[in-house]
Amino acid sequence: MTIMPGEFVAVLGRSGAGKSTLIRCINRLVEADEGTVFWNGQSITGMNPGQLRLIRGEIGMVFQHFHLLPRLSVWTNVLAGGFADMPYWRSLLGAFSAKDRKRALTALREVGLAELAKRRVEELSGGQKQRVAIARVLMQKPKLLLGDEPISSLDAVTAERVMAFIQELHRKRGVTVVLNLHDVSAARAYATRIIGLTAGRITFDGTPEQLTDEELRVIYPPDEEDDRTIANREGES
Amino acid sequence: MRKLIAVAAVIILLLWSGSGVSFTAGAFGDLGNTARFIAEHWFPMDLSDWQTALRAMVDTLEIAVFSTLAAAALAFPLSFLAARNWTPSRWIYDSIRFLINLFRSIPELVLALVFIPTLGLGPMPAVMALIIHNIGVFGKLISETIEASDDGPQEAVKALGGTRLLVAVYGIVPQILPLVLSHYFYRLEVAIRTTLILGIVGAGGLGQMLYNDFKQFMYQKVTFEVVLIMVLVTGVDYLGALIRKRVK
Repeated sequence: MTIMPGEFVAVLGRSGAGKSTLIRCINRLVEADEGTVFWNGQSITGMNPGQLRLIRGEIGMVFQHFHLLPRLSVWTNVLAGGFADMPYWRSLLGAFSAKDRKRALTALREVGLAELAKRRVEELSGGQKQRVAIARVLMQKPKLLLGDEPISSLDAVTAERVMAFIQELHRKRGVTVVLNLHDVSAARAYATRIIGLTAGRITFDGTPEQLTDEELRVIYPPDEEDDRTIANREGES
Repeated sequence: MRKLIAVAAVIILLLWSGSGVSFTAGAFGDLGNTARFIAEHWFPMDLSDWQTALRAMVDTLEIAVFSTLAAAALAFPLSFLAARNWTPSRWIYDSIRFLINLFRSIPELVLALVFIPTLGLGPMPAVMALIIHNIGVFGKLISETIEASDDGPQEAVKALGGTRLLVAVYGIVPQILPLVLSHYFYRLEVAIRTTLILGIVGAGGLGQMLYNDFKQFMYQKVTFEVVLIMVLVTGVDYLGALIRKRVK
């Protein structure tokens, strides 16, 4: 499977189909059992920890449960997006430069949360938390954005707002996007390419227009036919 | 049926252990004498040595605070190495775990007795004993807190290209801090009580004063010392609650 720069890929599939694993294999939050992941011609899977950290700096990520840094301020959370770029001692001591602080605040302004910069992240709503995560990505300025169910724990209106931010990243900044989605209609609305996973295998790869109801039935097989899916799902949670 | 067996097991355990310590109902008949002993010999309080007693109370507090702070500071980095989800290698994990368990398994009293011949009487053997034992205790408590921490933030720091150290600083430390503080204050309270016991082997402080006065039958002085102990323990408990309330 090859993903071209500038694509917006949505990965569909049932729980346990391997969507999270696939996404995490790209930046090696999960190590692949076999196979190679290439990034601009370099093998990510063959990199040493130092090289991997540099590449991770170029790959943004948003998560279903936001994964903000608890008990820290919104501002610090966004500043964390700059870890890969700033001198190590600055990140370690939290002694962020004035330039970085300003940049983080600009990122927060873009997602409309600048006035909450000094609040603790626990005080925010789910939608606000995901917007902080987006601001963290803006701070990071990645070439590729990975998303593991970024809108699955949000209500419809908030989800749309978050998807709009991701679309803006894609359109205005040319960020390549790969998202796991639960919501087929969101995938159709935003993606330029859809990949269907069924029990760990690619069963669909095409444009949103090519995704027919028959194809969907292959990606989402009914329960009783596939015990493995259930077993996998339990293994995953 | 299983409940019945459980209850029976507890009763049997109680009878067996009770007979071992000759705990019989007859002993309660003498409790009246205990009450009379306290009433006649322990009151009124003898406040004549209050300055020395207060000084001793501060000594006790200093020993306990210094030892637990030093132990916590030493155990904190070790705990990360002894946490399965952070340690860089299995080999390091196993050796630090072994060390921590060893430190924790030796009672403070034994450690203090071991140090007395070389360090002499006074607070030093007690401080050493408390530090070593508490490195073991904090090491276990903190490393288990790290292992139970939410891995979401840790994953986020990793995904941002953060090193293992950054994962600890931003992904783990902030979320475990309230629990670590809570563990600290509990251990401080325990350390105060242990310091009192170690007073018997010459560590100084209120424990030694109490022990000496008791041996000389000066129970009225002992009463005041017991009151001071109660004030000390309650005060630390109150302070701990206050600080924990602010760090949430």
